[in-house]
Amino acid sequence: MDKVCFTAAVERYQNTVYRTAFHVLGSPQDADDAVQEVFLRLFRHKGSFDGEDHLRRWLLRVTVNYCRDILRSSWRKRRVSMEELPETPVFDKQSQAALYREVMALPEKYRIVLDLFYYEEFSVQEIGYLLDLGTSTVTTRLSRARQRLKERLGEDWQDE
Amino acid sequence: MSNREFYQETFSQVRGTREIRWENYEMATHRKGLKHLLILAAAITVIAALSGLAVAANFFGLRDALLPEKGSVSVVDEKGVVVPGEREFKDFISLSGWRDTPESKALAEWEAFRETYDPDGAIVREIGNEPTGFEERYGNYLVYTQEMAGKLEEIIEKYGLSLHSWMEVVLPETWPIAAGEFCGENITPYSGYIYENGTFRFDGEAELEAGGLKGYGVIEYQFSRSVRGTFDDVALNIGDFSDFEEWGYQAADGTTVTLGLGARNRSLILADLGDSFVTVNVLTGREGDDTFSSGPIGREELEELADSFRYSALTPVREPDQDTILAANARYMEELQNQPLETLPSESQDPLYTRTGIAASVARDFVLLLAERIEDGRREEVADILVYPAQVEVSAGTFTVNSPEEFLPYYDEVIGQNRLGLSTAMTWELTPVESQIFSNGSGLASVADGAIWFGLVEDAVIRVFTIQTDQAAVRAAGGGAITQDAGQEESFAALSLDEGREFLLGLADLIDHGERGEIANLLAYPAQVKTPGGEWIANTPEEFLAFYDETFGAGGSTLSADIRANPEPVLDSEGSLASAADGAVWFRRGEDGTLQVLSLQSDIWLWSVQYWEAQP
Repeated sequence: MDKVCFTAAVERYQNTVYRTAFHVLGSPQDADDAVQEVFLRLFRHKGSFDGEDHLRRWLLRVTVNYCRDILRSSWRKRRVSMEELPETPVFDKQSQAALYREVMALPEKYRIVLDLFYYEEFSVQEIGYLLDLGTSTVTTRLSRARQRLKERLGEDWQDE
Repeated sequence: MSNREFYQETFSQVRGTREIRWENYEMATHRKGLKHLLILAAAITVIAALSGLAVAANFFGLRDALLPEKGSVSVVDEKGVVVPGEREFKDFISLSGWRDTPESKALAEWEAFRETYDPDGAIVREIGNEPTGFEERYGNYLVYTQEMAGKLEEIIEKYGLSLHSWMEVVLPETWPIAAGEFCGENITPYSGYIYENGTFRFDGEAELEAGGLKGYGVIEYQFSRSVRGTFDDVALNIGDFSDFEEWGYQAADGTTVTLGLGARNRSLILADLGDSFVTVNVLTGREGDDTFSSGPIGREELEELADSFRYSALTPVREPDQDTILAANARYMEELQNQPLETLPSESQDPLYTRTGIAASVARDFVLLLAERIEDGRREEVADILVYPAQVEVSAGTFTVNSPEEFLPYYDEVIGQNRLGLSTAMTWELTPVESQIFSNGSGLASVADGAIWFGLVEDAVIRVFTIQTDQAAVRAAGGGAITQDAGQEESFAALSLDEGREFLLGLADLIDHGERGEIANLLAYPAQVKTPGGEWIANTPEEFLAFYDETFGAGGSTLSADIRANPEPVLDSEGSLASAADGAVWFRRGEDGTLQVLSLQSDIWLWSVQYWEAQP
């Protein structure tokens, strides 16, 4: 990967990587670290990509796996991060703040599915591939997460 | 508004603060090999932090070095977090010399062009992930269109400048060879980079004896020497020029320098050497900087730092020899890699670490966390950290469970009904100085008088192998279950590092030479093969060969390169399982005594081959 391609990838996907890492890790600082690490792996990557979609999926896959490693390995850090409330962005609307709060209150495995489905617009089959999960597991998690959001957000979250 | 729109509208406002730049990774990559050496660990941490700051601040300058136009930068709030979408204008200086030099005038014109060209990044997005054709001549500059290339050519022709043609990393002890003996004894340069004309930059630290820093602490700085005659596109954000107290000073080697003591956390040293220009960005000032320095500095400390460099050794400029630098870097790396790792204090002073691979402090944290989860009844979180498959022994019989979900129906009988007893037994004797965590040499650690056994299942990942009470138990299947009657003998010799390394390098050779039959014979079967085209199970080497071209044939060279780049295996606590190349390869000793590959994964996740354990 050369400098121009790398810079373009950062420009286009940095927020995607951050958002995904934040959904998994729940900590802005850890998500920032993940962004740095994921793009380091892209920097080192010697192969080519078959277009934008391939690059995007590669980045998301690396992000998810990196974040899982962090969750698995760093007990001390994880414990601290669980005790500290993440810094909350200032949202335009109250409903957005509520959605953010409720999503971040969910366990990691539900958050990541929500992010990939609603934000990144992947199908449950594609999410299963990215997360190494069966389609039924993804569907179950998505369903439970939706149910929880509906319970907590009321009319702001539509029935699906 | 649909749920999807609602979700996207909300989370589009969640953004990171880290600025990612190619240049920082160029340096960081070459430092990677040093990470495991304790002697450099602290320094590398500082370097990484410095790189981050350099990106955030992009810093240097004084009045005569100021660029004519202020530059726009992201607004950062009091907590250091970037405010999305908000920009502010700051003073920038040229690292190439005073503002009236051709180099600085060229930089000012290029910056003015860049400020207005492709402001929203639309062009670079359109270019996408393809080579631009501009890499060969403009590889050291951010040029990605013909218009940019044309502008740059116009500027360098106007000012009679050339472009950088190559750049090489310089490791710490290579600086005297690369650039001369310009550092005093109190100066420690970290790795940096040098261009073909002798322009170089590095981060470093200096121990000072002056003023309030006497006897302790260091000052961190970034050192730049820009050689005249070549265009350099680096400018430094110095914030507000009026924050600096400025004076001339004759340094210890007789060179006259300009010093700028910042009112806050940055200061500057500038030296015009005629054929080159030196800028030292000092990462502290009158207020000090918690991250980069021991404390605030005054005029005395800044002058002592200025005395610490021999500017006269940098002139006349001597062009570097790339091959000599590469050879010196290689010697330096070889010396570092030959240093024994046994000197790491955590291995020699922590018996639990020696036996289990888990530092005592980490084990304590883990136990406390697990106890907390058990006491709070966080069933899923406890189930998530058990080793699977596992055998559950309950009143109704013994059952095999393969996942947290399968274990949860048994949770109450195994753990739930003993919730308080277990958590109390895990924590009541636990003190910061005298842990009740012990290991019997099995590679696992135990707590609560043997009720709970835990250990590493792969590098730095802790899992619970056994939880047992008077009524019930859950134990890792496949030999993972440990009891207090386990033997006291040490049992780490199953797989040695040397043997593992030799196996890995042999595997890389086989991949490179396309020895498909031998590779197939090394895999453990049945093997699950995943490729972009689907997933299959291969039960024999012969069956696997049908997938060879889609796996190793499609991406084997990258995998073998990764193995060669990092052929050091990571053994599990029992020496029975090993991984390498950041988990791209897992292997173990098979029942017949030979080593077999359990899993292989291409670095871009295009394909994988993984031992498919028989499901009960």
